[in-house]
Amino acid sequence: MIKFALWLITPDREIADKWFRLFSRERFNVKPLPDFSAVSRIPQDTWGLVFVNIGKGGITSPQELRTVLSGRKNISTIVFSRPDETSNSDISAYLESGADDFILSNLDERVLLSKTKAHIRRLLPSLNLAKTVVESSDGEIEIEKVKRSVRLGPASGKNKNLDGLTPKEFEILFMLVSGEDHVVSRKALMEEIWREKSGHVNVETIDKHVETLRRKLGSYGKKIKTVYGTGYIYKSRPEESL
Amino acid sequence: MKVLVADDDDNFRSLVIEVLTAAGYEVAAEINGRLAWERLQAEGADMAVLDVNMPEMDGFQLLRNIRTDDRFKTMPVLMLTIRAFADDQVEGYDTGADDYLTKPFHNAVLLSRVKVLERRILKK
Repeated sequence: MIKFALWLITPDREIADKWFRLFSRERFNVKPLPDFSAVSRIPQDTWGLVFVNIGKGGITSPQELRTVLSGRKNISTIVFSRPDETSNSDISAYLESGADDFILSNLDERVLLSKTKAHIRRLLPSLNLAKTVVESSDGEIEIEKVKRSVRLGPASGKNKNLDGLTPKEFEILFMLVSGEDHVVSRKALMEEIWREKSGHVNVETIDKHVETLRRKLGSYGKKIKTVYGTGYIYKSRPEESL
Repeated sequence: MKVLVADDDDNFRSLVIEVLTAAGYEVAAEINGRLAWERLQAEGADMAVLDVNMPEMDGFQLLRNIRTDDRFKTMPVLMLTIRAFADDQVEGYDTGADDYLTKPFHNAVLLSRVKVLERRILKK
């Protein structure tokens, strides 16, 4: 089974939220990374595209590209920056240092999607995008979209398949685990899962689904944290209260 | 490394030829899509830089021909055009372009993007 993901590395919350929603809507497995050096910790058997912002909290020099990407043939890197912070010499320097593309952060979303799919076609011509597999960073939850299966517990240890999730609960879990450590707003859930603009779906309806999902997940349900006034976040490891 | 260039604008075509030959690329240039397609079939090429608005056969049709021919379907193609609307770019990528750069362009950026395509060929 091919594991494929899109990774976002940017300190800019607005871009992170916007692109996370865009790619999730297309059913890509999207994950945030804290900085570019984290790319070196992506398992060798995983394929994907890294979108990384120039600057602090992203990538700080073209040389960093060469170092981190050395030997990683299954990962393509798309560097981006704000139009007012971008020079032609930056574009050339990053492209010549190993970036597969350089885009501006205000790129039209339709163009961004078409461009992304073009990169994926090149990287993995045989990839059926519907066959996305999402795994939490600790390996305790794996979700397979085509089979609509959820594995709880480590792949190589004692585990079980979770049955009985409704389609909406499955989609919520997929979205939360895809964006592990990344807040998913109720608004995003409404738009991506209920396909409704804000206001058409009652907030309590979403909360009720999440509560039921937590209950069905048993002890794993605690990994879904409520972010008061905003939405939810999936965290593999317990952290400070939100 | 041989690059097929198709552009009906004399100034842009000359500029692309100049930038690529100075960097050591072999360039086969034509003034419209039909002639470029005929030349590609006759001589082959490693990659292509194509304008969109051209007489006789436009760049998107040429790109479709390339992508439906087994000999060239994986050949890297960069669209280089004045058509900057999102719809045009989406059409370019969805038709099979690997990259899309709008005119006027910065010489060094064009060259860097061609080098990215060259890396992909060399990686195979």
